[in-house]
Amino acid sequence: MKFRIRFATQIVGLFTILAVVFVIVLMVAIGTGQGWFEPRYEYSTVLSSASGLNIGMTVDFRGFEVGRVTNISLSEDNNVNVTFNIRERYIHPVTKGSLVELATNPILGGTLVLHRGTRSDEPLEEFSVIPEWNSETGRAIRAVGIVERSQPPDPISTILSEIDPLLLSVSEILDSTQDILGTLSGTLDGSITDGPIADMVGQTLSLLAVLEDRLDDTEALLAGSEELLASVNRIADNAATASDEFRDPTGIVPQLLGGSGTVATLFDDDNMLFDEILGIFSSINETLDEVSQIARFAGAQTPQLAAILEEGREALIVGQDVLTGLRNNPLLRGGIPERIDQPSNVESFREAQF
Amino acid sequence: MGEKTGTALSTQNVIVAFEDFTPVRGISVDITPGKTVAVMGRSGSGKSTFIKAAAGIIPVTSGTVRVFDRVLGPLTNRELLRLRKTCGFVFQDAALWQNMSVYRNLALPLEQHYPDLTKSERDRKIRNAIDRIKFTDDLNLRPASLSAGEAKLVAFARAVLTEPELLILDEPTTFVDRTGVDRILGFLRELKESGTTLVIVSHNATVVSQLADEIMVIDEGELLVHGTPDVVAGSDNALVRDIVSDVLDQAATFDSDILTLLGEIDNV
Amino acid sequence: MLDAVGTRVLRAPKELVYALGFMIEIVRNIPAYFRMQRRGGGGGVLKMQILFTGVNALSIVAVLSLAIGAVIIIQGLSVLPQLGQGQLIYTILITVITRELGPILTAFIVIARSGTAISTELGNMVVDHQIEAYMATGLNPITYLAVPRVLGVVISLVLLNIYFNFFGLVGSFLVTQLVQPLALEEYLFGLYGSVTLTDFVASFVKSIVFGVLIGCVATYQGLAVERAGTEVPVRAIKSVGQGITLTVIANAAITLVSYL
Repeated sequence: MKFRIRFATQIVGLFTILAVVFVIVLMVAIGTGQGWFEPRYEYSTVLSSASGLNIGMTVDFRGFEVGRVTNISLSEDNNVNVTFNIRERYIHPVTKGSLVELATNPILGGTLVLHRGTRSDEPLEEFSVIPEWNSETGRAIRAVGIVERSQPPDPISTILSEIDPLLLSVSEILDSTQDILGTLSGTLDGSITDGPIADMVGQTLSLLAVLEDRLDDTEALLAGSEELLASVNRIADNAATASDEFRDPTGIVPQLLGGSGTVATLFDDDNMLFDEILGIFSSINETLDEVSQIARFAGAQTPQLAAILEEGREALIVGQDVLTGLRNNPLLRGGIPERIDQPSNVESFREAQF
Repeated sequence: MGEKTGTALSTQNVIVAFEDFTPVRGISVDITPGKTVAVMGRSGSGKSTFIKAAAGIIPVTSGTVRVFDRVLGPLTNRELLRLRKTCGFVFQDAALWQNMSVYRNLALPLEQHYPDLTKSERDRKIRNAIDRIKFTDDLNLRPASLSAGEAKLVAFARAVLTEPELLILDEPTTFVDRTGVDRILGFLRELKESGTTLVIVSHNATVVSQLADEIMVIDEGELLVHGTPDVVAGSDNALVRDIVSDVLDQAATFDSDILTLLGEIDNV
Repeated sequence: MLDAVGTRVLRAPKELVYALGFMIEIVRNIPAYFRMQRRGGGGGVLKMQILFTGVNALSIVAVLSLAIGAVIIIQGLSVLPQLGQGQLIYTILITVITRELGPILTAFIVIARSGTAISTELGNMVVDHQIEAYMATGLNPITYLAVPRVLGVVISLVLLNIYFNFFGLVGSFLVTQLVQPLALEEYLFGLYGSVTLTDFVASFVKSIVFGVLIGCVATYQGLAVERAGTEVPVRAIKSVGQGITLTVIANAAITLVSYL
């Protein structure tokens, strides 16, 4: 005690200096790490909605925080103007063709993901507008292929960002498939008598008629007929499988529409469900390919073919309804609570270490 | 100290009231510069409170206090500082600052009132004061290790160091042994001769009889009598006579001793 | 009974106003204190206050923050990765250590150690008239006694908070090494990612506010002793109670404001 009082000044001085040094070191270290002393470049983008977006949100490029959202405002034309800055040392992915995408997820908030433009290495001029991934400009840029997609920083955002466009395009495919099938079956039915497919079918039928006439007397005719019938049977089997898949009460589709816990299955099984659904559709497509090929030779079997196609079309409508329902499912869109019970499959080194 | 006009200390109808009791109930008194006034009274009569109010240490509830014609009241810091230099105070229980050495206790008032003093000048003044009270212990001691009497002497030195024109002492001789009393008495006499106005609360007959030009008797927070020892002695109030009788008796007895004492002081 | 309650209720606002006035008086006297310091006065009260309040409390602060930091990091490591949120450990560490526990625990330690000490010391000084002696000498007790003590408490608290953070963040890392080795770079990287300037500022502001509150309460209660020595422990207890109450309220207020 005596020692302390005698050297009070020195001790207090040391006490103070150590603390101040610690603070300064910490500040400099953190400041450098977070780029407090680094110049930042400002860019902006236009989003359709600010939900999930907030000021101070990080701008992410391949898992690195490259900048932060600085301002959000609603413009007069009802778009959301977002300004954000990019740290100088991470300016290089911001080039012509770069896009940004809001990746939100209900648990961790979200980030603004930066996608690198591949057109040039020249950084984009400050205060430029970087288009949003799903905006018209964004799509155009994607179509040209001058942007390189980067993964959102966490798996949930990745899944959410993947699912939406996927469902959208599946639904579009189904719509057009349905249209084509409608036309096709109408044509084959004979109820539609004009239009390109009807013409084609008409031509095919006359061709087939010519062919039939030609082959009438040959032995090859028999062999050909047998082959044709086998093909048609195969088509019918395929179509039946497809519709069974949708109708089976213990099958995947009803499960998907069932109670809680089922959505988790969707993620649990490595997209098996989606693979399966897509598989079904691709087999239908294959089938339809075959159908159109065979149709050229199968004038005689037209009514049966029409019936099979009609059945396939119905199956597809059911499938489309299921997928539309899935897409609109609030459970899926609002959050995936079951997800957090799952062991993390993240590959981030931080996660792995803990 | 030069000529002074007016009064050294003047109170007008001073009342000091605490939450639960009122120790001072309207005291008016004028003290002429250069006089030595003994304040007497029974314990709890309010005399200590009165002199603290007079020194501006305790705020008065009503009434006015003037120290050398300056009203104690809303003063600026500078005015207050000047007043403090003018008016010294010695507490009954020494009230040395326990958290600092004896040396610091003495140096602090000097630093406060003579900020321009160099360290050696300051040390010289302190040494001088210490010698006068014949304090021989280590100045680096803490007050807690002093005896009550020594502490009192140091407190006395502390009050006198800044050379106040008015010195108010609350029981300067309690806890002090005979030789200590003698030293204080001698010191007070010196101050008196140099023209310092002294207000001494004391029961010590020796001190009062030898120094007092005037005597004030306070009881129940009121001033009973104020005047020369003869006037007070002639009071028809039984209480007053009772209180001062000791003093007057001693005054007669010790008349001869005074010469001896004076001799002693000369030797200092 | 009614009388007593009535008297208390009526006295409460009066005392509050008085205490606020006291606080303002202290702040107003800070320049005077520094003027006095420059003149060479002051007698090192500030230095001694920092020594007693800050340096001497360092060991207890170190032990506390080490233990708490370690507990947070170990608990976090055992729970968070199960939720797939291992990264949150840093946010929790920063929030708990820097923003909340750092300021408030050091404040509690200082209240318990120095708040009582200051109240008792000043209370005793009142009882044996040392305060009056200061006044008689022309030294303003507020400037000479209260201001350096309040400043000492504030400075000590800020410094102790820094040490609390040091031991809590850096020390707990070392403790973690024993349980679950983690690379220092990774730990620091995680901290960089989670800490914001607001965290520091909030923590700093809290320490200063708590210091002012604790210092003012302790000196106020000490000087509120009137005559008797028996008042001293009563005032010391009050100083602890009020110190803790005000600190907790101020903490809630600052936390609230910092998230607005």
